[in-house]
Amino acid sequence: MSDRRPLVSRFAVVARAFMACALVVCAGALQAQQDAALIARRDSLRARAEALRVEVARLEAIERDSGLAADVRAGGLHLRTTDTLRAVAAAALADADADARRMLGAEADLLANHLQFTLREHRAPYRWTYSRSGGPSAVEADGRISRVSLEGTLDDRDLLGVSLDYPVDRAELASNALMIVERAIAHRLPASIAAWLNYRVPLRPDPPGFWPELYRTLATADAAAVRRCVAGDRTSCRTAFALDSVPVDRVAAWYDASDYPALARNAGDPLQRSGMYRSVARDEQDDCTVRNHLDTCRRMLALLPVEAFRIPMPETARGSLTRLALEMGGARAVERLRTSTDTSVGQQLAGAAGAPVDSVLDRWMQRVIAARPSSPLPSAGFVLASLACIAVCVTWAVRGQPWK
Amino acid sequence: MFRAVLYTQWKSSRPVLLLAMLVAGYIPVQTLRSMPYKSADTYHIPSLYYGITTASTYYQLLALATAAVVAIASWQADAARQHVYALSLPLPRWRFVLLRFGAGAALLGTVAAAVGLFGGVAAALAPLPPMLHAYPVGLAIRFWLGALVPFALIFALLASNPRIVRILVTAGVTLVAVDMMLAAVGVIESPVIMTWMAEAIYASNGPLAAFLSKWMLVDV
Repeated sequence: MSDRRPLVSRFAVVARAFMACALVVCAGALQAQQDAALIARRDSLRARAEALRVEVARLEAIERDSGLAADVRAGGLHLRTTDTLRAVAAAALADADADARRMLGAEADLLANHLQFTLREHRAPYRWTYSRSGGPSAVEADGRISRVSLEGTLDDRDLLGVSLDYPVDRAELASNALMIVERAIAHRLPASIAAWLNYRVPLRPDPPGFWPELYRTLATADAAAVRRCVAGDRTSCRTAFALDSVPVDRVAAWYDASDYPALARNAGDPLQRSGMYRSVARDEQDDCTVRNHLDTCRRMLALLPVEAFRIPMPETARGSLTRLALEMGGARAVERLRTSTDTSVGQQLAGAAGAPVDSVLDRWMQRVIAARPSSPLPSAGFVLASLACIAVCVTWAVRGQPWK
Repeated sequence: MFRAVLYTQWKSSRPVLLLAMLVAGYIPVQTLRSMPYKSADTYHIPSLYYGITTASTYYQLLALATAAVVAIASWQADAARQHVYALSLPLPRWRFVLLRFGAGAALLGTVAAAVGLFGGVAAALAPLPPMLHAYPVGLAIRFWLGALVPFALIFALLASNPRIVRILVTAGVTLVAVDMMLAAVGVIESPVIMTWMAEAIYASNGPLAAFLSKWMLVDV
């Protein structure tokens, strides 16, 4: 017995070890099997969720478009909308078409073949109400239209749309339709001028007070080149507009030394500036931005990437110059701009205007300088409104009996 | 008679008027002397323009405060004596009111003149860039007209029958309260009377039109 026990005991140990190994192997295999099943299930759920998302988007699109029963056409422009909005949409589209045709000429028809408008109505799903016991709460709304949205599609590419309060008037809708046309036409221009225009060719008439406000903006601009331009220096205008090319040393070309401290504070985006601030000690930063040490400013500005210094002429000014070139160029100006193979913006504008770029620039400068706001003496309307108010108050005071 | 009325009003509002004149002198000096905006004896134009635009608000606040004080001071002495002295004067009431108004307007004119004078001197001493020009006279006229409107409103309010003022104020407050309550419970979408009042007051030719534009000492 005594010599069999160790044998049994050894066998038992080996058997237990074997069982343990088998268990580990089985557990591992089981786990792997479970994992594979879980992964397969996860993948299938993901695929299902994705399919549902696509389906939801499809159904939402169908629901969104379900009310768009009305097709409106004006000239070449085409708009889909609801029956409720049909009348105002038709009137606005006709106005927009007339305005676009005035600037674009035959190009308007070419564009219209690729452009599709959609005017949707939106109803507020709920409105706020107040009760003494429960305070403010949301209740189902009566289904009135609260907003409308105007969208544009150019060859299946969505253009940035706009949301408007309802009721919307014809002029506002026409203006916004024209704004979408402005974006659409910009996407058909050569890339260099489209980017220079920030993807918007100005077709709408200038708002009242546009030119005096432009003069004020340019005369107080950050960049010396812009200020010199509005003071009548054509070379500075060419540089500030970057008509020939973007200068290699942008800071030297566009800015004066007195602009450097503010430029060091504001140039580029926060990410670009943070890199500069990390490289310069706090005291040095203050030397530039507070104590105006120009050498320190130069060193700080050299740390910024070249893209931090964008074309200093504001977008409105670039738009107004383009608009002037299109006006000078007549009916086929946009077509010439679209088909231009020139590389510089100045040459492209000259091609559109059918005149040298300097003459376009001269006319633009004349227009800006002529719009310089006169002395800020109160206007006649201001004086009359004040005097009328004073007269009413004095009459009221004369008839008063404060002792009663 | 006008001189006597002017003198009494000057006496009652003298400290405030002198303070207003000092502030009128301080605003352009502070705006134009700011050294951080200058570099090598040249202003940084956008910063300078921003400073002048901010100063425009200070001028408006100064006009509003001065107008309120001068209007209250115009009637303070009469109100303290229950208007007995004013009624015992040998001149019709309407003429007395006009004299009081004229005196107040003249006193506001002195502050406006100080605004123009100090602004003109400060702008003449400062090395303004060629693109910017000083307009002290335009600013002074704007200041005077702008101050006269709130002055006339407060002046008329203090010169009216207190009972009528009470009724008007109560009616106005009630209307606004009802309007806001109706909007809160959802009967109307937004307060109608409040919107209408705001539109009327801040319209381009409304009574506060003066305060909607900028009062620029230096402009393009």
